Amino acid sequence: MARTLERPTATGPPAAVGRVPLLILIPAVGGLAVLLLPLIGLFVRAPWTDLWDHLTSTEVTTALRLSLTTATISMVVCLVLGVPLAWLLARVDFRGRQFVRALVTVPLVLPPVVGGIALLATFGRAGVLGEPIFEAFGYQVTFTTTAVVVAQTFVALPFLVLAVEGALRSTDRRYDEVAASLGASRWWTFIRVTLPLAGPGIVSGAVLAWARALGEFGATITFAGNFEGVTRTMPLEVYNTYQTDAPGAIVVSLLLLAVSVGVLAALRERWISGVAP
Amino acid sequence: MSPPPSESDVKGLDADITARRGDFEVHATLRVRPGQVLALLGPNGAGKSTLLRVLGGLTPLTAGYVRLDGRTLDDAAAGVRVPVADRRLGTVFQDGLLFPHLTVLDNVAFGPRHAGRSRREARAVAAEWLERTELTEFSDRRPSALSGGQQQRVAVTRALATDPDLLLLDEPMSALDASAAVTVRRFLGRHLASVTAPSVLVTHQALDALALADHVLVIEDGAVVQEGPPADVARRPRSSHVAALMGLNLLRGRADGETVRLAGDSTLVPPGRADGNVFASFRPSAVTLHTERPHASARNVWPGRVDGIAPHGDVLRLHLAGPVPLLADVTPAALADLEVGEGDSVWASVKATEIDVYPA
Repeated sequence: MARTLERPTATGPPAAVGRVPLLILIPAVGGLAVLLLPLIGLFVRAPWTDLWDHLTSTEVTTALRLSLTTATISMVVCLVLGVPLAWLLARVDFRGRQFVRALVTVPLVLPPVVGGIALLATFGRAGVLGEPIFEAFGYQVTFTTTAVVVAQTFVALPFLVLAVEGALRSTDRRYDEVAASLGASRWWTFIRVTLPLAGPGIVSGAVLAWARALGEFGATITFAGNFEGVTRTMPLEVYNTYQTDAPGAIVVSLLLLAVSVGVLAALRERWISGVAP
Repeated sequence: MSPPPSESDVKGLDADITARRGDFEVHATLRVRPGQVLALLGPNGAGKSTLLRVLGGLTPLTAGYVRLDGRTLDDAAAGVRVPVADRRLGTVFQDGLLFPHLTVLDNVAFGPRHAGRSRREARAVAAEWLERTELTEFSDRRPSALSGGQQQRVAVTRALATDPDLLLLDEPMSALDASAAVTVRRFLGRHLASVTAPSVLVTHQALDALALADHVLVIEDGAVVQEGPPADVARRPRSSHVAALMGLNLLRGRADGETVRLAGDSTLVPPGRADGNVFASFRPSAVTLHTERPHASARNVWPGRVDGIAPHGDVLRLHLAGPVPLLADVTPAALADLEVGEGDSVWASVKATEIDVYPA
């Protein structure tokens, strides 16, 4: 044989390159502590004895139901609006694409309370769009459950768009060409090829958006207000309870933590782990 | 310049293509009659895939035209460019590119489905095609459960199932290992025979062109450097470049069981029984050189004279002139041991097991 190259038969443990330097290890452990200590504090201070009473109080169950409903609706709205936007950013060359992508990320870095003010300025009763709408139909969105969904969508949409755009970019564009060469229009290529191939990325984007919507506080309380059963979602309930009943706030916080972690864990098993090859 | 022939007088593919890819320009005239296979043969980067992408509508041409059965698909002067989806093509890509989220059946049904058939009809057509190509057993599998060769056979079936007006094959064997390539080549040979549309095959393997094509265009640096029936291109590479780009020693002869008669009284011992007109191919690295005639009886041994020595990767490629012109790859050390230089006479031997003999 002319050329038979020796190839390593298996990927063994990495070669010994020395111990982990303390200058890296210490800050790393510190970082972990920053993330974990507050959660531990939450568990330690929780009033475990009357936990159940707190959890089953009307305020909490109402807030939980409202949170789950609005976060889920926001996620669906994000999917409907965000997936096409992500596709446009990932697949179509148009002038100003970089600029549009930058715009999408603005709500990501914007303090949510500023987002709430911006929403008020636009959709509030005296807002740019809100005023003419109120004058024409007598309808105002502020301080309604719809406003909660609008606020959550505003903050969650960038998460979904960026995640889905990344997923679309990492799927092989040649599948689009294959579909076209087999006679599929761009629409059907999107429906039957692009979307299914980006499926895991879309699911993880949706989960991110849902989690962000579930935790939304600043924009919601500014734009939608704090009315029990209408706009008081779980984070607002935590804030409310804390004014009078600190242990109660801890219980609600734990519940919120459990719901988010539970959903993330359940989906991670099925989907998110599937994203990585 | 004579005007291009009017639309109605050419059946099949009639194309005069100038296209650009970056700074690089490729030009070729392609005529393929219905049922015929044209091979575009050339090294990587020669521009043959660009030509195929133009035919497929994926890359615009900068000058010229593409016509199929009198229908204009591209016309640079008139600004015509028919979208990919409306060209009625069947395309087989280098690495298959079966849709990973669909079963084999649904992959094959994809084309018929988008030709306006209902889901059920499309699946029926796909099932029929899979039966014809003897792949029915894989219908319900996902592509990831198939070997590379199986995937590529499904990809060919998917292209055929569109009942295309033009079949495009882009390096269909190059991503496969040798034995899978043989299977797919045979598969293509069998099923291309029943294709009534013109086919264009892009390959950098001379073997593919010889086994499958009716006509070969050798493309180098964006231009056609040799053109003709594949046997001619194989037997008479008009430049060392064409021989080099084949990357193979390729001999043709007539077999009568145990031996193959080559041109000029030489013979070749095939690895197994062979009959009729055959091609025999082997890699230059399979050739061993000797200064004395070797005595091993079952070997293929031919005399030759070293006509040229050139570095080729990390070996030296020797051109041997003689009754059986050969390319031989040897290591610099082996050549030093032989004490052979240009103009010296040598004996070349090739083990029968290193030779691939297949019907011409």
